[in-house]
Amino acid sequence: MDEKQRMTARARKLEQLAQKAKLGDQEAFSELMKAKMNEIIAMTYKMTGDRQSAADLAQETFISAWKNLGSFRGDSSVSSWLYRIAANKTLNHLKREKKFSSNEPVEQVSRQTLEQSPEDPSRLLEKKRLRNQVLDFMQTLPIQQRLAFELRFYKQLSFAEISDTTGSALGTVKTNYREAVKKLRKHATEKGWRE
Amino acid sequence: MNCQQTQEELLLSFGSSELPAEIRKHVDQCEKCHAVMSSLDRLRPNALTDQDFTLPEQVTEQIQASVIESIKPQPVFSMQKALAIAASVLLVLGVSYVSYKSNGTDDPRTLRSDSTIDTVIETADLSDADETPSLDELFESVDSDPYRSSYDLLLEEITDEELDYLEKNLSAGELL
Repeated sequence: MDEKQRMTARARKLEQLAQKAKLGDQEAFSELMKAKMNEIIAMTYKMTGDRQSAADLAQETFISAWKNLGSFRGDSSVSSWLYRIAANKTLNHLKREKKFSSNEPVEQVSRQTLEQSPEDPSRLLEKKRLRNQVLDFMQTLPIQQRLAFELRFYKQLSFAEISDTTGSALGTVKTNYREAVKKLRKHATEKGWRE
Repeated sequence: MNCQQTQEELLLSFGSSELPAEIRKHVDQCEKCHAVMSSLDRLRPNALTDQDFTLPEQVTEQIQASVIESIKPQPVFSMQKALAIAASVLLVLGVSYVSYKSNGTDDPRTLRSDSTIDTVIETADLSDADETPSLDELFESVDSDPYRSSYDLLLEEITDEELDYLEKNLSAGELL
């Protein structure tokens, strides 16, 4: 089974879990949550740049998903649907906190990861450096560009799916993404990112 | 497709594994655009992947546990419990009603309160008051009673002369 087939099978499995969960199956919802938890956390983490907020928003996302499963019609994939909920939660959080351009250190998480992981410490340090670079960069982006970059680059959604998820026009989504990539190149040059 | 359009498309394709054939063709022929594509390719690993932004496993497990706890059905006044209570109340009311009916109407020996009597009087059908039987009618009904004693029948058949004779010659005790 190649990568594409594996992804299709996984997507089908997620849809089945969503349909079961919609009928009130908590076990199915729990399985769905486990499958998508890291992706949602990664999204909220990059969007907020803050570990605690990322955890809180991921939790809120899944609670909201459970409460609103009845409204999930299956027009879009369950992943897109979850990203939409996470995006809305995150945007509200950022508006509330007025943290559109804040930058919070992630030292604590990195140290924890270093202590717990059996990976080579030098490699982990490099990852930590890169992660902080990305988090720094993400926080410099306007919120809509940040969301477009997150959904396109990390979640690999098509522009049409992003448009559907965010409710923005297709042209706007493309412009936001293009601007984000331009800024990434500029940021990498200015900050001397290793190539 | 000119260089500007191609480079705009290259920016849009950043992170995508597939490059449209038209752009690929231009890039292969244009040194400047090829350089842009190469710089974007080198930049890509620096942006990492989703897996590099996860939190420690115990944190995610804690989040999952909190979510599961939150979505558990809360102990509320269940329908089953409500039905059980309603059934009990109906049962008590039913037994009380049956008891009231049997005690209040069928057994004349049962003492009833004044209020019960008043209620009975108030609710009685007074339209039949005119049909109350007269004394004569009552006597007639007694006369026609098939269960009268043989002594009553004997007295009816005896003549006045015979009765006078019996009264004169028999004592009261013997007569009765």
